[in-house]
Amino acid sequence: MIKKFARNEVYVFLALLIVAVTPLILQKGEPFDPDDADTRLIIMSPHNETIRREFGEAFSEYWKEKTGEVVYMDWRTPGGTSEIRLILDGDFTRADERGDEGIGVDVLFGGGDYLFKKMASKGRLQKLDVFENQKQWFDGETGIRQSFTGEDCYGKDHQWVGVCLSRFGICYNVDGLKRLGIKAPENWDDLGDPRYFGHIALADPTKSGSVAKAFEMLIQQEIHKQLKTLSREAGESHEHMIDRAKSQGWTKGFQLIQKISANARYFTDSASKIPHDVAQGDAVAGMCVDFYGRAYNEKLKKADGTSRLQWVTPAGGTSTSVDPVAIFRGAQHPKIAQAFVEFLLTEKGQLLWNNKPGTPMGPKHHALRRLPVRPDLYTPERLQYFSDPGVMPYEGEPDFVYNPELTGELFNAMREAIKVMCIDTHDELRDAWETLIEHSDENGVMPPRALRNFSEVRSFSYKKTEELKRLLSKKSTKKESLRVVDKLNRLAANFRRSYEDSQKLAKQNK
Amino acid sequence: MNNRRATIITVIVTAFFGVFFLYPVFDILKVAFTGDDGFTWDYLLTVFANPNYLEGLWNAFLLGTTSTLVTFLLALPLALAAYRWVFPGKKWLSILILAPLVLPPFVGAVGVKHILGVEGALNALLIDFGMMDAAAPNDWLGKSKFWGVVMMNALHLYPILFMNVLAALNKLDPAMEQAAQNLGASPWKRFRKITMPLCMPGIFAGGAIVFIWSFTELGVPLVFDYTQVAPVQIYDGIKDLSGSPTPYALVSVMLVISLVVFAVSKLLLGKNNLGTSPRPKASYTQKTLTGVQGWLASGLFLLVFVIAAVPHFGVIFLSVSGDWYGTIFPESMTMAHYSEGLGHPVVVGSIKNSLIYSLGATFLNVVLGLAIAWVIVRSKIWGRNVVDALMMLPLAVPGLVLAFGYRALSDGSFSWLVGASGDPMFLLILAYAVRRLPFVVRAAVAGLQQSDPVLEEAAMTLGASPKSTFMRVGLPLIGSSLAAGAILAFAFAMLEVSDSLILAQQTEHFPITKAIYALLSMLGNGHEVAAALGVWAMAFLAVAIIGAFVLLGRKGGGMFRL
Repeated sequence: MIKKFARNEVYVFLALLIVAVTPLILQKGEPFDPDDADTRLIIMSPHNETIRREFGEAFSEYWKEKTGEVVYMDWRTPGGTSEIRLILDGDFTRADERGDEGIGVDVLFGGGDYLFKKMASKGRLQKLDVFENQKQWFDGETGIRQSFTGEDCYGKDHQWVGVCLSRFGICYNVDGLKRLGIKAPENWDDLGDPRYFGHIALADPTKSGSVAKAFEMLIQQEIHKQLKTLSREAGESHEHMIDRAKSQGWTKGFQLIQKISANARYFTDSASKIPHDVAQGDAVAGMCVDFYGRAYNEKLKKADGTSRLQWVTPAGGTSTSVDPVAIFRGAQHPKIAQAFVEFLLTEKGQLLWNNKPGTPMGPKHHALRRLPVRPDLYTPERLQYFSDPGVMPYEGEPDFVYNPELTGELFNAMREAIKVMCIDTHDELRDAWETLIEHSDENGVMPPRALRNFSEVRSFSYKKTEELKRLLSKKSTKKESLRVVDKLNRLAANFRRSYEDSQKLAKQNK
Repeated sequence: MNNRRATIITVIVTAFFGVFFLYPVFDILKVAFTGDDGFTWDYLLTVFANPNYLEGLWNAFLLGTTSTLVTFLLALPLALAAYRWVFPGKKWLSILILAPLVLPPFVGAVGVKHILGVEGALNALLIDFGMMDAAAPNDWLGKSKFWGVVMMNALHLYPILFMNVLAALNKLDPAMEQAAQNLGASPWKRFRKITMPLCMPGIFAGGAIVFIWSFTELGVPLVFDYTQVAPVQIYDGIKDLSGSPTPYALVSVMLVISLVVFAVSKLLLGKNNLGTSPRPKASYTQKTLTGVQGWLASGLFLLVFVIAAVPHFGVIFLSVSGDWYGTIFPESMTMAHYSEGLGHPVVVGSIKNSLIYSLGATFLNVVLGLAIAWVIVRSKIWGRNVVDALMMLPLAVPGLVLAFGYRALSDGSFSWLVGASGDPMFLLILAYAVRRLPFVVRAAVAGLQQSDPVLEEAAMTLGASPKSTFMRVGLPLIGSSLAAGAILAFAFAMLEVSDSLILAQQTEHFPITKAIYALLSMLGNGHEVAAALGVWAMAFLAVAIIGAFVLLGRKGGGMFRL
């Protein structure tokens, strides 16, 4: 009995030992003990592990070479942009209450220019030395421009600077398209095709700033189209004509968003889920940022060079924006933080973004597939090491220029409106759309009255959205914020009713 | 137990609970009740005026009840079969069906998606067998989301009910059933009138946890993109860039519903009308099933294991797959993800951290859980039922809310908990312990309810000190229940996600779940690499749990008499 017990104990112990030791055996390199470091740099970032590892290792080496000091890269990664914003809001509020200057974090790295503009406007960032120390990087034609395709590349008061470029586009699954019998999408319009019903992957624009931006560009494209086609009516002033284009384009944009949303399989809260689901065939197409599209395309490439996941830039419908870096006010390690920002803009720091692994100045483990912000680095001798030498963001005239004056003011109101019109009411929206599709004639023409009713977005016309914006901006007191919630609820109820009516009409083939 | 000691214990445990649970939660929830001019009900009223939230609450409630019912239908036959019969392979099958306990939930979700996806293994299988048109594969996860969530909940949670019911059955005095049999009761009547009522505390203990868990479950609905359900609405609302207090009001509604359901069901189910029975003098003589009957029983266990292990298989295959798309098994196999995942610099440290956090939390849980269960069952002090209900609350608070509460706590009056280096060890141990305390409390309460205080009184009368009475009589009597609770607490602490994501900020303090989460975000093969680390975590937990069974099984009557 005792023997058996002892034997069992030995077995259990042995099994535990084997499992526990495996990672120790497989471990590559010495584990790094932060206590051995001379100093540390604290970085908050939504960047993925691949980017963190490459930049962490590269900067540590750079710093060691420069100063002889071992720096410990202390990454703080609470999640995506919205989690980071929550944490920062909480931390800064508490720091203010305590009278502290900073929050114990040095650098904010990644998250889209919207987050950085917000942080700068709240006075949470400090001036970057790189603009003074390396003036040539911001000089002339080959320097980083203040603005590109209408997007800011750095803050006007030099509190943040973009380090890499990205654009929004459409990723799609080739097999899925074949199954549905649809040709590859080329622009945002194509995603409204009813044959995509239940097969589009979208993200919630109130959760993700980058997705909201994509929706905004889609609307701007519609306004641009109107501006091109409209001509001045008799007695109409130029400003009035522009207003008319804005308002008509806005409505068309909203109607398109409504159709794409009706096709949506889901609205996820994490934008990186989209390319994965499309690659796995759970969705057929989706909105997704370029480097994810390129990474999955590469991963799934077969021996014959084809890949089931493709990514396209919607023609004339997307701008190129930057992913920035900034230093928080009251940073604990300001000197290293400034050096880190400068490193990101050096040739080495820039080429890490797109060089193939193992090439000179390239990443050690994985390709990052993003594009450097410095235009002067797109030279033939450097491009030979690029993962994507064919993508030349600065070449030729951009086919889309973001114009913040057209829609920028309404950015927040727009996402709330989309949430009300498409996400809160998604069940009814889908049901109505499905019925409309079922009751289309052989040419795919939907019952006209039902369709008209379905596409009625008057509650979110340009004018009404301006009103919503005013209401949202008055949310300073809690009573007013309740009024906003109440208003949005009522609007959602209206849309719900309208979708139900459309469904009834469609059933009667009206 | 005298009342003075009960009061002291109650005060200590309630103080702990108050500081580390109620205070941080209320600190967060007060947002929901503070208007421009102080206290307000307005936000709460908005919840009830919003058809989305009402639908979300209703759906959550339906999910809770349906999941509990399905879990019950799954766990009860298994527990009864394990209690009554001996059948081929029983020892291993009874351990195998605990498989859900070892799976990190979000890794499991990744695995499930590869099986149930449009181009997943199941559709590939059906197409190969000619049962599905390859041109129109079914979108299992896109359609019937509700039942998908119920299925995942039930398959994930049935071990809780199984362990609780089996522990309760093992403490039944077979004499009761024999007496009923002698008096001519049919097997069904015996089950209904004797067995069921006697193990009601166990059923209630497990059922309450399963209900509240699936009522407030966030991860599974998120995976299925089932967004019209209250926990997801809360999660979305908190993350919403507008910063509205309404989601916090919704949290308080969920807390109240959880409490009411707990109280009502306790009133209806939690009472053991037949009173406590003395420690059974003999154990139930199990019937050995042979031939077809035996294999049928084994088949039932095997079937449940296979279905419950679908996510595990998904994760295992994914961890070795080159590409897995439109085929039953991965098209190509590789071990590269293991070398990359397990070799990653963050892994070794995270394993050490996880063990420290989880063992610390489990220890704290056993001490606190036992103390409070003692007060609830054995003492007569006023308000012990309130304490009982309070202890269930951690299950009803979304992990995210608690995590933000702790963050505020550690930043404010309790900054000493993290120290200068920012090490969240104590914070995470406390957070894990608070979140898993209900398991241990429920298990210990059920154990105590079924063991007869007369035995302890006898020991006291014979001159044993309270300490030795407890150590030599009380504890051994409830040992198996307590061990079941502790194992659950340990396993779930190892797999804890939301606290870890928010509270462990620096790489050097990551627990294993956060390391897996970090690897998941690797560009390109993140899912496969994370799956490899997930398989490791599964193997480790499996060995640890089986080890605990093997070792405990030797002591006094065995844990579940395997």
